[in-house]
Amino acid sequence: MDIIKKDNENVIEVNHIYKTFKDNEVLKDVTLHCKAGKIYGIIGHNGSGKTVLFKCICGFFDCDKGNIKVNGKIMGKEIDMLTDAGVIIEDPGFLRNWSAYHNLEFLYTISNKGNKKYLYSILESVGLQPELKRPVGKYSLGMKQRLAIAQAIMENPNILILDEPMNGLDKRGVKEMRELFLNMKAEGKTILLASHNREDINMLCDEVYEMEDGLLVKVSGTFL
Amino acid sequence: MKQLRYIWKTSILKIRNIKVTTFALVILVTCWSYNRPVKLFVKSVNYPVSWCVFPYFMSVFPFLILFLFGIVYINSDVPFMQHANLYQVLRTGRRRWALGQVGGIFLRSCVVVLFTALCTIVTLLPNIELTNEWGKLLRTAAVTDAMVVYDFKYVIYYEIFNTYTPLQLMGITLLICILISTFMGIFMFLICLYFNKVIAVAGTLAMAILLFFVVNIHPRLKQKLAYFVPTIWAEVARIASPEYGFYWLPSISYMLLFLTVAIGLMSVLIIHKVKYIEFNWDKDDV
Repeated sequence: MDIIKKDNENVIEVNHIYKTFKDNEVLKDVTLHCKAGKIYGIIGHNGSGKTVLFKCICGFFDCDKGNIKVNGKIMGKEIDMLTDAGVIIEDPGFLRNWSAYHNLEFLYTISNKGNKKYLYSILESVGLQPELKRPVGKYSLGMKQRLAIAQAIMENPNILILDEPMNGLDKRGVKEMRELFLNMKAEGKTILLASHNREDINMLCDEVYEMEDGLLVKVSGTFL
Repeated sequence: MKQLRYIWKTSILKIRNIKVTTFALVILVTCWSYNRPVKLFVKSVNYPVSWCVFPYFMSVFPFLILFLFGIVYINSDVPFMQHANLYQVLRTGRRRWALGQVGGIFLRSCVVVLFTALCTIVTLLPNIELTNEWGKLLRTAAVTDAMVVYDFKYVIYYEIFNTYTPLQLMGITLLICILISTFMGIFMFLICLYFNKVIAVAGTLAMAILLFFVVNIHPRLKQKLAYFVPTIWAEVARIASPEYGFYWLPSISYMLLFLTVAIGLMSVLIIHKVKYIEFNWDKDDV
């Protein structure tokens, strides 16, 4: 009974939120409920408000109206940041003079004890060579994106917020990442995915929403 | 424990960067240049000098202003919202992140001040006296015309010899300089959070430049002004030396109390502000 109840609970609840920057209303009455074990796709033009929505869910921005609940806790009141989440937002931000491993180690050991073997396995799982000493500043966009995915999944979070995670990846990389996200979905993770790629959305997402001029509308059917 | 670990990690990040390296190189070269006349004197009298010259370095205007400008320079990455911080805040939460930054500023100040003090000693090697005595050489320099003849770049204040031992004066100067550096870094962080980076940098530079007025003003006014300009307190080696009959520097306990309370208050204001700010990431990564 408990399990059934848990399955029906919303992991993320975005309730009628509004967000304005100066005179620009970026989010208008946005509502979104996300459950465990599902992938939610958000599509929309550049500047339509997808990233702002993700930043509000993560706790970087406050909402002007409405509220966001994560695991039943109100963002900005009961929790101040989405700490149990793997996040990719905007360009991957890493310490440019440090290697991939040292970047991951720095972030991982903020809340965990260092585990070289484990971090090496994470780097391998996203197709990066763990022993590569090259500083991240010299990585290609695809390699940085793989590293961003590694940092998002390394703490085995229950929620993944992914803003264009396939950016810069080659075909093989895209295929590998799709498999990875589907495996995480099977493990019961909640995944929010923003993408411009129809194939990603069709293949991965259980529900798709379109963001246009700050409004979020559910889309039915697949994309051609 | 997690908080301490994050402070430590942030400190490493704040110390291992190009700005601190540049600062360190400039300080090293300047110390070498400032110590050259002393070394010449050492050579000519064939007598070693006390290791404790750092307090005198901090009491000379050009060196102090260089040091303070350096502190502004290495803290100029406030409000520490470079893009690389995005992934950190997500893992720490707002409060822990802010405490990490404040702790990082303090530890970086410790490293920078200790490094500066070390440079003043290293550039005198090998002719130093490792004792807790002021030694004949500094005493001679302080009471004769040796400072003029050898063109010393810093002044040796005789009166301090009877007030503190080298170890005591070094300890006090280090402590006060660490607190001043921390004060400036935290002040910049605070102003940046409440206003913006330009005001933070300009305000802290103004605080450093205020030294000029304090140094050049009438001693009676100097005494009053010195109570409110923490940057001048780095000249603690002058505390026992009256100027036109006035002891113008405030007491050491006043300096320590003022700096500790100010740092504490500003830290509280920072943590309060960080609870509500919107994080806008800066692409200027470290």
